[in-house]
Amino acid sequence: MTTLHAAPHTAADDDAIIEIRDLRKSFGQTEVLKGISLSAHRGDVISLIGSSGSGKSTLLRCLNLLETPSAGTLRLLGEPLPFRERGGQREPADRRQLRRLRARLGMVFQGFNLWPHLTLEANVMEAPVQVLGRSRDAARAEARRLLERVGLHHLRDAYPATLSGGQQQRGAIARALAMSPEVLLFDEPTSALDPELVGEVLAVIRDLAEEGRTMLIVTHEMQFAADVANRVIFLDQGEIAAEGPPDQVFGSTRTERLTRFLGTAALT
Amino acid sequence: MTERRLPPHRLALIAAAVGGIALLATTLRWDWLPEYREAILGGLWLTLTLLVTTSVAGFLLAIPLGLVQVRGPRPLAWLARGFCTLIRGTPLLLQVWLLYYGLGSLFPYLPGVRQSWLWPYLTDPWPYAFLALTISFAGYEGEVMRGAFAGVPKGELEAARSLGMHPFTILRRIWLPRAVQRVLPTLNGELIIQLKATPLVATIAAVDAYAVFGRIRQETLMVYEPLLLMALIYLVLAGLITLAFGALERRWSRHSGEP
Ligand SMILES: Nc1ncnc2c1ncn2[C@@H]1O[C@H](COP(=O)(O)OP(=O)(O)OP(=O)(O)O)[C@@H](O)[C@H]1O
Ligand SMILES: [Mg+2]
Repeated sequence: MTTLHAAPHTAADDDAIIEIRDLRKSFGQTEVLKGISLSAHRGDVISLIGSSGSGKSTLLRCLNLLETPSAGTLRLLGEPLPFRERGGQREPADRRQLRRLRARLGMVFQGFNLWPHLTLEANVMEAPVQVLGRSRDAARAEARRLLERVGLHHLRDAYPATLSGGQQQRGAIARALAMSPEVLLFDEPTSALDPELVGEVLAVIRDLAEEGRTMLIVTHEMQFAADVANRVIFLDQGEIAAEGPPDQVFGSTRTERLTRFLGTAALT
Repeated sequence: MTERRLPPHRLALIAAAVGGIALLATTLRWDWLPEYREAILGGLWLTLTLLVTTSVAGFLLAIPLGLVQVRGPRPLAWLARGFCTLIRGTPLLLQVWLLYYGLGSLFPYLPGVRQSWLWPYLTDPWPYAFLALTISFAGYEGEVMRGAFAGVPKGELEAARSLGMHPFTILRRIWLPRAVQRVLPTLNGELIIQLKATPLVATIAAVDAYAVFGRIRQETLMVYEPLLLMALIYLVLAGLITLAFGALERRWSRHSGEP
């Protein structure tokens, strides 16, 4: 493993907002993540890049436990996350803790995943009302403010199916923001979009980065990854193959594996 | 499932039906109607009550039946699958008879039942009719709901989980509404089938609309007129169900984003 910039993986990295050590994940016999260690601090914007099938989505999904890691330790927002075995399955030991932590980690999916039976505004209000117990009025006011922010205020009463992909994704970002998350996880937020719609979504994410939000972004947009991040992690076959500030990772010292990947990904 | 709006050929059919009815009304004998008005309304009432209560109760049962088949736990999933297979694989008439003649004839042997406040109900046919039609509807709709729950895109549920929602909240706010939205078009047809299944209760001496017309035919010795009126009544009921669902679907499925 070539680590250009070794993150401080000390045992007491207390101000790390996400810290994972030696995280492994297998699906059946195939090991998809082969011992990943990384930590993210408040204000970090980390781009996760790597070829298709290298395990980027799996890593991101392990961070909010949509997938349960097969091995390794996980600290989220300063809390260690214990696991237990149940019926031969590993699972988070404390479901309530898990929900509490998830509420503080926002996730934005490649396929938007807005709820089609609710209007845009209702989509954004749903979790604050149901999870945080906000009043509908307060949640609605906040939803409108957020939709305004992502440029969708005029579409707040529209249903997702009537919106363009870019609008749906901006709506999904607003939905995640409504929980005031301390970390935002993006899994290829623009990969399902027509090329002409990519820009509007990247602009919103860039805006969030400038605000100092902590974010992990899986992306195939290399230029964007380099621009927006203070750290780039290159994942190759389930391992971190390179890690560091963008100018280092993409710079002259880039590894052979990364060069090969960038050759196929066409750095624009 | 076919489109259930009102295309031109439907309108033509309706016009033909209205014309036919007018012809029948003037050429056939209807003088027995006033005498049996009360009985017909009573039978219609039982048919409607049975239809509404059994499909509501059956559908409420179908929700857990479908859910456990998709989500587990395993043993419950097997039980639910077994129940649905059994109900769907046997004639409803058999289920009605098994409950009425089978279960019904066991009750008197249970100690204390004859003296209990339940006894008058247990000797009546309608609790058995209700039960048989309810489990039948539950069996069919359990299977339908299984498909509907399984068909809700996983990402929508993951989005809910990623926001920290409680599994029960996800079911109540996202999974169930989305599943119901998907079964709405099917449910229309299933309800009409349920309507047409209700006459079977006449075989255990429940006096529904069908049974009333049977009695009228026996007593008046008329062949066609009671049958025609009965057909018309069922047709109108089926039409009303379809109309109601058309309205519901326009409200509910419009935004599902599915073809
Ligand atoms: N639920 C699953 N069951 C079995 N295998 C899986 C599952 N999820 C992912 N995999 C496998 O794990 C590997 C990594 O998948 P992952 O989705 O994490 O890759 P990725 O880096 O996100 O790729 P992409 O750029 O295509 O999104 C792939 O080989 C994939 O087939
Ligand atoms: Mg992926």
